[in-house]
Amino acid sequence: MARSRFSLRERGILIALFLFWAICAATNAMFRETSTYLSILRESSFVGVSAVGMTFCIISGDFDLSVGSMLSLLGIACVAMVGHTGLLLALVGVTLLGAACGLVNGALVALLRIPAFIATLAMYFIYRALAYIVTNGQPVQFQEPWFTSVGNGSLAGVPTPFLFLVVLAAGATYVLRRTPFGRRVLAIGNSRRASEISGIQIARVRLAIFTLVGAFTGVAALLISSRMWSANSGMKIGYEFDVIAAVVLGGTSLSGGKGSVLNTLVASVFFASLNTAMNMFHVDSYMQRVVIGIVLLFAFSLTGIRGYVGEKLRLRQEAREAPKVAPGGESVAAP
Amino acid sequence: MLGRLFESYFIYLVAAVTFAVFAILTPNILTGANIVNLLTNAAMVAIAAAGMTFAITGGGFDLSIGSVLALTTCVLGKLVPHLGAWGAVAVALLVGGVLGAVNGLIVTKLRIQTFVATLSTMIVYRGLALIYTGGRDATLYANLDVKYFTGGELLGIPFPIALTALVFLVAYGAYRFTPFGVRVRGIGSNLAAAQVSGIPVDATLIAIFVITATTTVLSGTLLTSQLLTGNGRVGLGFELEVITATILGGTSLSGGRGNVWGTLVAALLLTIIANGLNLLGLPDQYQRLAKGLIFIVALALDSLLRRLRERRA
Repeated sequence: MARSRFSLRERGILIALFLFWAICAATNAMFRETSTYLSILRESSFVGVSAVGMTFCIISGDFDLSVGSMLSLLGIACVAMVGHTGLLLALVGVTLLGAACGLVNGALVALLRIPAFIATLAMYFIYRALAYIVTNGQPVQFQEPWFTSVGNGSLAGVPTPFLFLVVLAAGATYVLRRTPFGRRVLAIGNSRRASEISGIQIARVRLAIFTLVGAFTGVAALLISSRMWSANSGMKIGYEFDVIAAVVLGGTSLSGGKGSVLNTLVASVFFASLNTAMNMFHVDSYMQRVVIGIVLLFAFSLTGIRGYVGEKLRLRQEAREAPKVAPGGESVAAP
Repeated sequence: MLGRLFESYFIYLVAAVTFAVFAILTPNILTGANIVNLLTNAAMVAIAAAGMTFAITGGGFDLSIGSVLALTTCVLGKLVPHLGAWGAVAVALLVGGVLGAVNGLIVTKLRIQTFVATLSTMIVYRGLALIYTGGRDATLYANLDVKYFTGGELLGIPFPIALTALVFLVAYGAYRFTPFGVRVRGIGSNLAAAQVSGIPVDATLIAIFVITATTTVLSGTLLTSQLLTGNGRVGLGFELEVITATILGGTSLSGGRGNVWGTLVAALLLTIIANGLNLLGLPDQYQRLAKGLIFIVALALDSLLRRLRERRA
């Protein structure tokens, strides 16, 4: 198992991405132009930024389904305040507001001990209802170029949102791999009991993780509302699926304990490529949903397939060592 | 002892008090027409929640039912003119059964957690519904056969109420007195033990998903009868309402403990609240906010009761 870091499993999504690009480039002339790829990188950032935060959440064995609704609420807040506060303060403000939303989710999950996916499903409705109530269903707009250039502009040829994504992903990778907090996140995902016994304050770490997801979603909200020059209460329905799909396709195990922020980034680019390709090949928009759903199912089953193969290997090894061991069933259904 | 009594009958008390409060605030809630309307709406949630009670007792979830509901309205909207109401319902039940089996196969054979598996099929099934109708309405205004399902009577009882009673009697019998019910509870309370003791876990789980989907088709039939339209966009958030009813009714999220009658009362309670807020003139979005908050309270209560139980044990 030494150096598994460079295994196919770790780089699978990157290889898949290049393969996909190669196929697209071979069949469609648009996929031979740099501008297409730059636009893919731009689009990937809007999901990617929130997915970086979500990576922590899924590694720790939880979910946050409320990010799409949160994004709508935060986008509205961002557009509403940016005219008064300027860009930098708006970024700080929306990030803090996102963190506050995340803290609420975290409190429900870690303090009230409601299972994460159910608690965040409830918040999914609450945040969206709030977004509707504060705007009365009307879109809010802000079209000054200094604001819209964040989502639409480029710096040294690279789309600005992608720069945000790269910087945040690099920072998050450092936090996950090199800090005590990152190690606690991984430990909780591996075994909550073992972490508890070894003295990790689980509730506090989970609270921090949800807060982190909220903060990253805040940044994503600024990027997206800047890209669209506006925000509304019906925007980005289904965003949470894109975000979770990117994380899972990036190889982060749904059962927790394993994951990589950089692979999440690559997977976001993969999804953006898939969307772009489906548009270029004129796939019907309803059919696109079905395709995305099936890719999602495939991504989700990767964990299971890996587990199955791993278990088979383990069983074979055990059978070799001690022929009388009863096969231990792996949990299949418990959510 | 008092705690256990409180736990078992709490929901009945809450439902009675809520109804009384709304009866005072908006006397309109007591009119005959409104009561029938209220019970019909409750039936839609309750019937699907009867199925969901099995899923949650078994330690799982089905999030795809909102999409199954939408697909049901589309199938009926398209097929009633050709096959008649009963024929179309039979086809819809078949479709629902297949979709449920697909959910079950994905969960058991691909080994995906029920939550994410049904999250994915939720997207796929709604996509199918939209593709099937081309995103348009399939209206039944010219064909009023389906009106029977909400307007008609069975043995002198309004059809939705008769159907609900039938579904719940069957569900209670299956839950309490059949080997299937025992297996579901066994899987929900301890999956590993269930496997070791020879319970056919995969078959039971697949059956559970077939049940959640087919009960949802019955709910969808009532909805189509009410709307007279098939549309791929209806039923957004239906799964949340149904899961809320199930949990509020006393079925524990940690699995193994279901409460079929509690589910029925909770579905009624949720509908009373929605109906009451409606009669009070509260806008739609505020109602959603209220529902979300009620959901949170129900969950917090569930978690509290669970901890109390653990302390007792």
